[in-house]
Amino acid sequence: MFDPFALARPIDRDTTMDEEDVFKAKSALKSLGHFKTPKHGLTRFPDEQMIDGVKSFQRARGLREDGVMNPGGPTHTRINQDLRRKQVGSSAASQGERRGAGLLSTMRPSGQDQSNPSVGSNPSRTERHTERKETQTAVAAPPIVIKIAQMMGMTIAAAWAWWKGMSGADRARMRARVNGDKSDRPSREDCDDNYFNVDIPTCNAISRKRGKQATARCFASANARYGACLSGVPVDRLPPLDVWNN
Amino acid sequence: MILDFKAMVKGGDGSVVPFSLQIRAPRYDENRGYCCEIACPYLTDKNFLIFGVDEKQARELSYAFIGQRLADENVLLVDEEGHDVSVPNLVDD
Repeated sequence: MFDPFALARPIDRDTTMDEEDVFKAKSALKSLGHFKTPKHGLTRFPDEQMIDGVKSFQRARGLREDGVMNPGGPTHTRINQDLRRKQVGSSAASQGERRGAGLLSTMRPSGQDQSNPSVGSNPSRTERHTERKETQTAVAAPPIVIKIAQMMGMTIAAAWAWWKGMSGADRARMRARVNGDKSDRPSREDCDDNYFNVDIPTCNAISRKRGKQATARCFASANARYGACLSGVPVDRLPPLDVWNN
Repeated sequence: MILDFKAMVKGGDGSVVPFSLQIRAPRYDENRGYCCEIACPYLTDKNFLIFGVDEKQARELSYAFIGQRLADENVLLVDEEGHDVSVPNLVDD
């Protein structure tokens, strides 16, 4: 089944969130009108505005309003449904605009239910306008941006805004990642070093100040960081170590 | 030993290779705390050490860790008859 918006970890203010999840959640919420881009741009850092956006979406859809979005949970599922509806609507809106059709088709797997009459055949004028705008964005976006959008499961517009906000070094890293370049992939030794010599000692150090529960959370986040590192996430881009929550 | 699991890994080309996973009982490391050692030669020759605030968490995190590693590496486990199998869940004390 087509899943335009994937989550690796829960979006929950009480847990350590994955930075890519945060960015994707913000992009998705923005796309659905429940998150407004701040003046400093869309960031990968969790903030209260994002949690409010999740609550706003939950409120609008009659879901439990707790600001939490678990992978595959009701909020995540409903966001995906709305995004898919929007994307299918985009397909309908873009018919006749041949310029963008080819590019947009790269955003979805073949065989997607584009002809589902219950969801895509009659988009509102506002939806058509929004989707036409996305089509035009796709036409103008460079190929690297379209690849990023595909890889991250975000809209081309969001990917392009992100790309524009990146530093040169970040762009180089992202380009390498998108193109499958493993050169910045940390080695097992790098990951072991970070886990054994940084994270675990940090968790043990906070146990004296913050107690067992906080320490347990710290170890859990250290474990997640270790796994992410071994999967290829550079050490400087790992999710944060949880040293504060009680 | 809290887990000694054997299966086969099915490759994309249909080939199968032996797979074994051992999670040893938690122990206390004087400098770093409670940890479980994980041996999974299919993934790496070097064993993993997973730490937790106590024995229970060390066990839980070890299971979570190896589950995530196998998922990240797209390891498809099958039994001798070719049926999909998965690493057994941690059984609470």
